[in-house]
Amino acid sequence: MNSTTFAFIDEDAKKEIRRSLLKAVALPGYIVPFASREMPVARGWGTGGLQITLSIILERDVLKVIDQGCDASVNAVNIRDFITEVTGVKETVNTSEASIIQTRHRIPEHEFAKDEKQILVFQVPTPEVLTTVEPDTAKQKQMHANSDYAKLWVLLYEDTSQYGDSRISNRYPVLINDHYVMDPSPIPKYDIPRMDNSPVLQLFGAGREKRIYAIPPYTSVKPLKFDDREFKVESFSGISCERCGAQNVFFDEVRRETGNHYFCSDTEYCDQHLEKSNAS
Amino acid sequence: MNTHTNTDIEQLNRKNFRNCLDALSRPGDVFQITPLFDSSLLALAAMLLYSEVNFYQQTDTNWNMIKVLTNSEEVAVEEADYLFLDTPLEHILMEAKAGDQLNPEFSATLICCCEDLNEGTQVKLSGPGIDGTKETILPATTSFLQLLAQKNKHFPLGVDMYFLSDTHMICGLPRTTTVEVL
Ligand SMILES: [Zn+2]
Repeated sequence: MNSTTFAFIDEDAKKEIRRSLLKAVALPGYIVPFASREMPVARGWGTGGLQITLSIILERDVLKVIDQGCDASVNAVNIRDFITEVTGVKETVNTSEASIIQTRHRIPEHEFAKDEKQILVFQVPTPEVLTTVEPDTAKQKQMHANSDYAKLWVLLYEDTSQYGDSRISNRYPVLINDHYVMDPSPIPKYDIPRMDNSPVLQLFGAGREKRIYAIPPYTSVKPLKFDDREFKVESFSGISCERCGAQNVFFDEVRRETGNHYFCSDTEYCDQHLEKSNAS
Repeated sequence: MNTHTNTDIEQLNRKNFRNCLDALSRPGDVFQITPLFDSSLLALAAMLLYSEVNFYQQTDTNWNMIKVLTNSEEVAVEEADYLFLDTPLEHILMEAKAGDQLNPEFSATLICCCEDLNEGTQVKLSGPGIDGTKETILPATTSFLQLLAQKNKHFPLGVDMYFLSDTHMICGLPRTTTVEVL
């Protein structure tokens, strides 16, 4: 490996990832396999997301990395430090300032601006949405080719009739552009409607499986559900953040002897909200 | 011919890739390409091509440097992953591979030069990447665009396209875009 290589990965490996990214954008929700050498970083680092970020990043980019909404978690810090070290790009915690946001399991709380061309890179542990209903990878591929999602519907039906709602709390299956059903990565249900018709380009990378998929901006993203059922997201009605007082956001629930405590899951949102409340 | 170090070309590649990614993600919007050997077509070739993909070209340009740089093989139209053309050609579009239901990514990408992105056919675009609908001009004839619509009628099969102008501007058209001629 050449130590002067910008963004760590060599050019041909980047070309392979870039080819897959362009195909993924042209085929919203379709899983594109790519060839890759192992990244010399530990698993759980989110190598899929990392490979995408390193293949798209430019000197002028401003990078934000979050883990479950938090910029300061060890995982997020390690990834951010690594990327800034091999690229020299500027880093930020500010969602609106970032041109690339690499994330694990959350979409930042702030609404994205329309014309900023921001890119969200998701780290994906299990790219194939059909694994829960069909273990055979060849059959999974055939099912996608035939738009045959009957097995997912059966699962959904069983849940609905037995429990009144789907038991799937994260990785909720979504229909992209009325064609492919895909795994949105383990984001909460709260974030699913926020993927729909979003102004940002959403890219998904699974390192172990070597899979890439994408949702272009302004693309229809619908949770798989029966017409007569409402899609229920996590409910936090009447709850506000103990630190900043914010309401109607996604909360982390902390259980202590004193009872349940709630804090904004998005730490940057919490900081900004706290600053605003203190100022007024 | 200018001399370029690998580092220069890699820098060019990443800038041009990002603009291609933006162009394909936002059909109808126009982005800048930085030329290589005074050609934005060759700049795209340098960025897209490598040993694992192949190409076809029908251009007035010398491709020797690109072949050396990328180790990519020149093949027949119907096999090619990338098709580089001096002008949008209907018979090439017809023959370009469109992928299959199992592997729709085994499809061709057309890169077509034109003089000016603002001269051609008035169209209305809709589909992923477009906020509602977008009225614009595409630098191709009505009959080429009708053929393209035919080619892309059965999603996920189809081809993806880029138009490149003499002034090094690029506009992307993925297979998901519905092109209505006005
Ligand atoms: Zn808060």
